Amino acid sequence: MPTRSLLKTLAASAALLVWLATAATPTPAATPVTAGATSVTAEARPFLFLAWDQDVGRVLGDESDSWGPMSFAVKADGGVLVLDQANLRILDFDPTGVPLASYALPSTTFDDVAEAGGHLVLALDRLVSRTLLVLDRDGEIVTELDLAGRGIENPGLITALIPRPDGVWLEVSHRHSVRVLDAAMRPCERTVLLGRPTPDGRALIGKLDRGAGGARLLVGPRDGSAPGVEALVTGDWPVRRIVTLDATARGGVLAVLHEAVFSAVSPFRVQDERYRIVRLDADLQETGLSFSPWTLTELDQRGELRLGPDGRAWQMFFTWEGVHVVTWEGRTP
Amino acid sequence: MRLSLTILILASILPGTAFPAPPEEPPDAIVCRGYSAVGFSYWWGGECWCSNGCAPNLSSCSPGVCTPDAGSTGCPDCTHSGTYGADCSGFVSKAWLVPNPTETNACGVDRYVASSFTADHAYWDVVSMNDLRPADAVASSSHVILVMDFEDAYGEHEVVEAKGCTYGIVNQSRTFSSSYSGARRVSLTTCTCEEGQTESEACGDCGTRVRSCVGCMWTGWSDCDGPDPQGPDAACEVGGDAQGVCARGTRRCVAGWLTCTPGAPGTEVCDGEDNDCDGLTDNGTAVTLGEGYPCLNQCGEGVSACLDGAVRCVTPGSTWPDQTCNGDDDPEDPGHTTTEDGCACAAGGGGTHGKAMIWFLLLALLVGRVRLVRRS
Repeated sequence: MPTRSLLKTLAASAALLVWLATAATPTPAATPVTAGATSVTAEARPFLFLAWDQDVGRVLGDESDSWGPMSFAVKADGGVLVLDQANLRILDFDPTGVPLASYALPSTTFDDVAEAGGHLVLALDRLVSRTLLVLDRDGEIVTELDLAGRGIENPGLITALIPRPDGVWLEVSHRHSVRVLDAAMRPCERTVLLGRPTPDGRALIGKLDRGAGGARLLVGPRDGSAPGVEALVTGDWPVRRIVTLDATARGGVLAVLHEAVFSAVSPFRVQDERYRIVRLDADLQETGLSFSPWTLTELDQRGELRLGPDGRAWQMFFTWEGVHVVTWEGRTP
Repeated sequence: MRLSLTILILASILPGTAFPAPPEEPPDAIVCRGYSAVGFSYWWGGECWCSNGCAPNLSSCSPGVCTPDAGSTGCPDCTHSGTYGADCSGFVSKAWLVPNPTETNACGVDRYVASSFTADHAYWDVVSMNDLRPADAVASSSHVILVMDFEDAYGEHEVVEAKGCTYGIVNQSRTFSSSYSGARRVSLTTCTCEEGQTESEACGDCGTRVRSCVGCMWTGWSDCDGPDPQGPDAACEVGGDAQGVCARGTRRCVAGWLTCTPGAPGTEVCDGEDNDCDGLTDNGTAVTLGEGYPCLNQCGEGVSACLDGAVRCVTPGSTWPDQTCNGDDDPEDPGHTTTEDGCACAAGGGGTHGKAMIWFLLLALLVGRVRLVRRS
């Protein structure tokens, strides 16, 4: 008997097949979701589709890890960067999804990407070279930073790459963030704050609270000089992890939680799962909610959802056919 | 293909009941062996590395090099050179001492494949992914990972894994898809500490973190916490392009690291400071600076103005107190300060700029009043 999860996956896949039939690869999937799409995907609009092994690379592990593009980033102009590290490059797309340049990478071990200042590309390799590269739009390396140092004892424990108006921050163990580059992308004296910096100069802290059935969010001054605003975001199902936590320049917060129901008996297989996409205002009052059926696959991926400059949530997910980038309706204030 | 691969397959088909159970040991012993492999190469079919306690011994043993074959998307289409290295299941088998306890540098010994760890076995039990602990494994049909710590605030785990040919054996924070399942080795010491016992250790460059013994097991380490520097040690210069109060910081102990926390930009008020960090002092609005309000001083009616970092009641054509009224000894009355002897109105004052501003403020005040009168 098919599980709810299987039925939902089939329904979501049907919607994807519609996209695939209408969208030419590797060009943008600009066709909106058709009326026949399931309600769960009705809020998602396709932006881009990249076919496996033609447009974008992957590694299917055999006694090793498997991965596709490890991360992506939404640019200030509404375009997208896709980290195609298996092919030693970063793909650049304009706001309509048309491919632009690609930027060469020195190895396949980079696992995060971001844009800084509207014209620079950041590429992070936590595990092997342990460096952060800053590339200009010609693909030239402007800055190469050794990650290890004050605040970052083990670069493998970096959990987020966060460009902000005052420079570039790296979050460690989802606990503290370290500013490693200043606004001019120069290495700077490292400063540390609890949580992750927000664009409006505050700090945002997230912590799972399984007992309460959700995640606690706290936003307040970076120096802790005044009490912040706190909220508990709960799920309908047990919350397994915080997938994404970010804030807009106006102080709104996007929180994406992985909800999952597991069997209570061995081997404890997952029965149903989804991403809960929650939009909150600067006072952490919920203003919008969506659910994504596309959760992490066995292909490892670090950057799954991003908060775009327009306040929308962007998601990159994998299917058997390839890599999809979609935007979710509703904007974070 | 190496002989060990044949053994590997046999080991996966005939779960290792032919071997004695792994030795009783605490989870920390497995975690220690796991850390000692970090930095060695990925070797498909391999299972050995050199340890120096919990650290890898990369000086005495070459870590090897894995090179993907042309056009390959991963091993086994790859080539390894060197004596030491491991694939994911060889690494976990050796860290777990299954099916047979051997030294970490023993190569070509029996081991399991990744998929073996997804089902119950004589040497391990499948556990819920919501209950992962240090020394557990997380496995799928093609990969297996060693868990090194309890979950972090977001629900991710620190792990060590033989990730792949270009990565080698790495230590990182990561999450797992729901296609993975958890496994816990048997023969773990069930009591690793005394109830109520605590341990602490120093953090980066300030503060400490602690863990306590609950239910005979160590909890995860707390966040690093420590006192902030006090007195002269607390002041610091932010550097860079910071200006005004943002350039002056306070040194604090944050997450185990001393950091200069810059002053936060605020509303520009009349205090001789650059409160909003724009490089200019006392350049706020009349409202924030407290200017333009009628007031009285000893020279008569005046208007408030921000001069020299303070709000003063000034009268056009004169200043009060005069410039000599400063608390210094009064030369005309030795032993008494000028303040004690009384201040006087002095002609002029405020400079050309100051006068112009005062006249402007008075004019603005007058216009405002006239408008109010007309409206009423």
